[in-house]
Amino acid sequence: MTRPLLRRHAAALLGAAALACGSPGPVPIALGETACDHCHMTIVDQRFAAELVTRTGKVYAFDDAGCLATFAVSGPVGPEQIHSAWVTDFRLPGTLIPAQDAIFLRTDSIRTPMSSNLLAVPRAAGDSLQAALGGALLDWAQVLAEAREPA
Amino acid sequence: MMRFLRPCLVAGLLLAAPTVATGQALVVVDPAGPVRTLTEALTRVTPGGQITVKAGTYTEPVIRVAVPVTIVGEPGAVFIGGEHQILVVSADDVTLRGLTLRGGASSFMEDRAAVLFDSVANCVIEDSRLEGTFFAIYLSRSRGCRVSRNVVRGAAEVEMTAGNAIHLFHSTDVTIDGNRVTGHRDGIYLEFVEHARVNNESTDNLRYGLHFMFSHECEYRDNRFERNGAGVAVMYTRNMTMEGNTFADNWGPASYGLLLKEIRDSRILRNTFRQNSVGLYMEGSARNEVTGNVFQANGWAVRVLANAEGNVFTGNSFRQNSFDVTTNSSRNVSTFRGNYWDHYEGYDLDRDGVGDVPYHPVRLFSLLVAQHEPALILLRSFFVELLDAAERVMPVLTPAMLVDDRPLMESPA
Repeated sequence: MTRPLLRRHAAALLGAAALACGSPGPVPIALGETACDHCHMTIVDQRFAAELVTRTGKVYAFDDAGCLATFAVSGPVGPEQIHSAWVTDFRLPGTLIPAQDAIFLRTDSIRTPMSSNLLAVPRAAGDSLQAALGGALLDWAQVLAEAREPA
Repeated sequence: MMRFLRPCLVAGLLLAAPTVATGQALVVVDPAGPVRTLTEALTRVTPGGQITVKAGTYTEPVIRVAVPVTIVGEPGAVFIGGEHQILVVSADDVTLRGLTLRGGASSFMEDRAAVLFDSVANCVIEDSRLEGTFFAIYLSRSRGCRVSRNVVRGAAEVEMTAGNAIHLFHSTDVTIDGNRVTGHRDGIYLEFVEHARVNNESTDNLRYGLHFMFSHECEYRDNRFERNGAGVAVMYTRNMTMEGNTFADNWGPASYGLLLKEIRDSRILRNTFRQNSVGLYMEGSARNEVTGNVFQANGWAVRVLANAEGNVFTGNSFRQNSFDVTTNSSRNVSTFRGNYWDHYEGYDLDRDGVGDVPYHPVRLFSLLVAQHEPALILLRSFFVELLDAAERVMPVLTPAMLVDDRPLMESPA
């Protein structure tokens, strides 16, 4: 009686382990509890939250796309270890999209926690956000380039 | 005909002149009339005059204050917010006193405040109540203003989208004193502000009780900061005076009594750090003076990262902390001298009040925990005690320079 039970438990455990070891990806951010891994401020504003995922699946969280960019180019994680970078779709707080698929509006009308004032949306939505708020559009490569050489 | 008309005309002009051209020095707003709204009163009042608002509930579109005026609310005068600001002040020399402002929807597209002072000088808001607003009091590009004795209560315990209670942006020479702020994102937030004086009670806010960003030459004294989500943060700022404040009961993995990042040439004097996960955290901070503070019953009393340089700790009292000082490297260039440490086990044979053997405040175990946090589970283990004792006798791994060679035998504070 104990043998099959044990076997079933073992199978369940293996299944759980396999799930836990899935491919690296973003995870939801616990607002008000998680600190930004670059500036150490507590993340409270969902509109600007961002993540960096390493090849081993470790997730770093940020309160501002600017913090993510600075961390990505000069943080403790080398470029070869980075799996993916994620930013929040400004229009849909809680939805993380790949940074390379996003377009960033730098605007004076909305202020981000670390004053990068970068709002991320999917590429297709960039023009309409720019029309609504004003400002300049940048892609992820340009944001990274700025982070490498701050103005 | 003309002969009759002319006196009428003159009399009419005489009657009309005071209200149209110069207005009234005192206008009363009363739900029973004749002036029923503050908006209407503002069209009637003379510049520099006063508007008194009688008890009542007022729901008006955005009220724009574009003349110098004093607006005084009598008890029970309540203005209700909605999908817009309640008051927008764009004139110099405006005083708001005794008003109650209630409610206001949060917004993703603007930092909507109950009261916005926009590019003005000499503004005052005092003795008012702001309840359940998104942002409460917002000063943008203003100078010479005072925010005093207001009670600001947000609803942030249920809402992650709460704004800041008192928010200053690009402003100079502002006094924020005697306010009680609670239940917002940050109690008091200052960004690009110079010469601010801050003295308040800021408790139970979602993130920081007080938050300085890129703000220089400011001082905050005798404030009480308790149970804020992450304590108080002072970042990218120089020449600050932080004196006589209490930082207490900030517990959590990202919580600090006081978080300092990139702070230069500042003074941290006679504060009390009590029961925080980390009492004082310093990163990238240089030439700061930390004197006469009490660190009591914190997890980590002081956490100084190796990139902090030339900070001097003297005359502080360290009591009942799990760890007195931690750092992330064996290289450290901050100075500790003449502090009281209750973990000190040395002696004072010459009875000059100063211990005869140096004290090493960084436990070996704290370095291990800094590099591998889960090791904390071994905090009370015999093995760790042994490790620490061995390291105390013969320091190998802990920062050799991080030593107090004049530890006090009695607590100075």
